[in-house]
Amino acid sequence: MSAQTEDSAAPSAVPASSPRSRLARVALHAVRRLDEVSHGVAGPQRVWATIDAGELLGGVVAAARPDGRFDLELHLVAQWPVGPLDELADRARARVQREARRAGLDDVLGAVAVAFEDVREPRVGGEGAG
Amino acid sequence: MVLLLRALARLVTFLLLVVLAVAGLATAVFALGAGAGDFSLPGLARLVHLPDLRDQVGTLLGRVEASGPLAAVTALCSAGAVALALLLLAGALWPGRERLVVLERASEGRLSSRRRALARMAAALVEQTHGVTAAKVRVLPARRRGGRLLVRAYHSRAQQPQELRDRARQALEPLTAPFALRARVRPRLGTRGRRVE
Repeated sequence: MSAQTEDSAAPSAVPASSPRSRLARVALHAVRRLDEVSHGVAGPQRVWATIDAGELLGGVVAAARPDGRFDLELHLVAQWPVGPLDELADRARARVQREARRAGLDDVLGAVAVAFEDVREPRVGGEGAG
Repeated sequence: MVLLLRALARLVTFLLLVVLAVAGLATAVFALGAGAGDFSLPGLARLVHLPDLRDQVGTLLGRVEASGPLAAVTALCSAGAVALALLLLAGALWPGRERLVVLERASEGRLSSRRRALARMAAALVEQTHGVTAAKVRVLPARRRGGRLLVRAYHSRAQQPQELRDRARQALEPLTAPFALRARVRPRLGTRGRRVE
């Protein structure tokens, strides 16, 4: 009886991952590699976050669309100096598309919304000052 | 003003809900009893002096029907109650100030920024301008897209305000030019203690 309970509990112990959460992870990692992006923020109530494989990914939300794709929302802290925001957003989207293609998730990638939540002070001597 | 009305509306709503909950609980408890004794709905009515209240209201309505000073006072009070209700409605329904500035809406996704982030970026751009010692920026989002940047640029006596204004506007172009953002720059003479160039 106890062995049966252990067997039935085993699959739920494995952290869940889905195309939606994997896409969120890929997108967040892709934009964080940009020099002008410091990090993603989950927000005061942690609503801008997605859980993938048991890990909370702050700063990215993936929402399903009727056509089976997922729209992404990226909530980012910019790293000063930034430059034109439209160009930065375009580069972020291009990088997300590229990384999604590499991960085999480009067929589920929808629109990518970019929101800058704050700006971090310039790095001093290569270190984050903010 | 709107913040005060909103707080007042929330307080009144909370108090009314408490009164409603207490009244509902009392009615439910007294409804368990039968007959016309103390532990029954008629008993509850007697406990809160509802018959007396009915008599008093009846007398008042009788006096109000007749012309006289009481009718005028009642009309004024009614008008005040209507005005207060309208103010509370405004406090409850008035839309809050948007903290997000939508910069661009496109099929590939929306681009937006918090007011604070945009203000910090704008201030950093203006402070890099020759002659500006410090800058303060307020961001007023528009309803649908874009908004306004209200910039106060502090400078020394050696600077000409008009030239400084032009330079500051030029410095803000990476933010204003691609989007529906308008900048209003007001040069201010820096006070003692502010940073000098």
